[in-house]
Amino acid sequence: MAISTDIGVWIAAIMIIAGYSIIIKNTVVFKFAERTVLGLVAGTTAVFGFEQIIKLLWIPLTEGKIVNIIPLIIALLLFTRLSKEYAYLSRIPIIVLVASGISLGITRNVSTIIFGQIKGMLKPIPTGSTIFDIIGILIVPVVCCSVLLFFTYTREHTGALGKVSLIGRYALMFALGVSFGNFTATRTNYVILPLKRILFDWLGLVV
Amino acid sequence: MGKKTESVLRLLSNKPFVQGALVLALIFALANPLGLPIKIDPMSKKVYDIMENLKPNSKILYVASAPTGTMGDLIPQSVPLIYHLMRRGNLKLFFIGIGESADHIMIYIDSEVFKRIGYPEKYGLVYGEDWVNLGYVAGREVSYENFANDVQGTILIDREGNRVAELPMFEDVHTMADFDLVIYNGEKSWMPIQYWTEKFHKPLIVLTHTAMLPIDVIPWYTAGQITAYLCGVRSGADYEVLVDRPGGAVAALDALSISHLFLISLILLGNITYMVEKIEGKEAK
Repeated sequence: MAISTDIGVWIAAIMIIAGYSIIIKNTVVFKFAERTVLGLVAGTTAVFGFEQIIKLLWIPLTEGKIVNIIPLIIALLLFTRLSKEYAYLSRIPIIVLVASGISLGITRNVSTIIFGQIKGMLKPIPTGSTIFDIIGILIVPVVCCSVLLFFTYTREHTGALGKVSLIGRYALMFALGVSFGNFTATRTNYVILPLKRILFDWLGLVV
Repeated sequence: MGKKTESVLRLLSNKPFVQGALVLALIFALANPLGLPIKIDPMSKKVYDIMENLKPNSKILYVASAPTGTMGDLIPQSVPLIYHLMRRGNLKLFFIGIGESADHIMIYIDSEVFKRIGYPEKYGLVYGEDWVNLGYVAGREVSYENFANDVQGTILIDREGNRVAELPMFEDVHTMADFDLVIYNGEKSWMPIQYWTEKFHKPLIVLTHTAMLPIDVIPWYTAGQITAYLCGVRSGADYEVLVDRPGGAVAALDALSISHLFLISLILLGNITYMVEKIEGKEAK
């Protein structure tokens, strides 16, 4: 067991311990770690953002790609929020951002999410499938329809509709349970990495 | 409510106790590995076989797109997979970070993954000819769409400051159609499906974290929109065994098993206490 001599590893280990000190109490040590991480992330993001502007906008502009002046002007309009008189102009870049995102999203969503998923749900049963495969393939459309009916509120959930929507409710609870279990497992995985850093990288534990 | 039930309930609802006990259990498991046998998951094997059967000079687009917080679950898979790609050789590797949080994960791949397995040059790969780090592209839908239709126009300059148009690797790479495989390391796997792989009919391998598997990967996989996937530390350990290079994921697997046992025991204890409380309540009436 040899403790690391790397200053970076030391800083990382101290920050991890400071971060996990929240388990005991929210002290100044945790607050220091929290604010340092926030500052670091904000700083890195700012640098990367600035780098993007230089690479994608400024360099082509200086090389004669005059059309780049349009996104530059649109981007600068965001800063009109600082003035009460011209603040309304800041809506233009927001409109451009939202509209371009939505228009692209809608067009691709229809083919991928709606048609692609329906196509996948209604796939034929392949030859040589076992009884479990067949059950698995049949469960998907049944559950999908029952969940859709569960969210149909135009009619009271009684009689046949009530029974089908009950299947939907159980399916939803099952799915949410699986999701919750997976989220819990993931959160544990997140803890393992910093612990490994302390035990193996910093303290030099060899197992 | 009985005194014993009350004290158990108080203990279970004591966050510092539960979290502290979990951390201690993990430390114990990491320091004293049990060496439980690893049964390779068929999906991990499928990913391995896809990598093995890639044609020489295939162009692989490796995309990092995940919040930094999820790296504990994503990096253990990336390390053996990237190692496999580099060891195999005869492939063209394009690394890129895309999305709102990918800037940080690109730094991480650079410092954490390459630091552990060695830089591609160690495997005889030449920068610009066999591998390239394209850095980070901000944005979401628009960036994905732009990248798909004009790779060189969206990137312009790589992480090292080179013009991508001048790199030999980019001679015949102009759109997404020119890549042979997309490996997507992150969340929101519908993004590459929507803008890249479905449109250009390309195979897609997703490296996801455990929480996102049922909602972000399984529906797409069953619909045939994802070719194969790796998930969390578990798949990372499988892959480390497959490439015959046990490392961080294998070391973490015992800790993971212990943590699962710990959580199951907490759930059981909680339920037992709940039932005892109910019985005691009935008796009191």
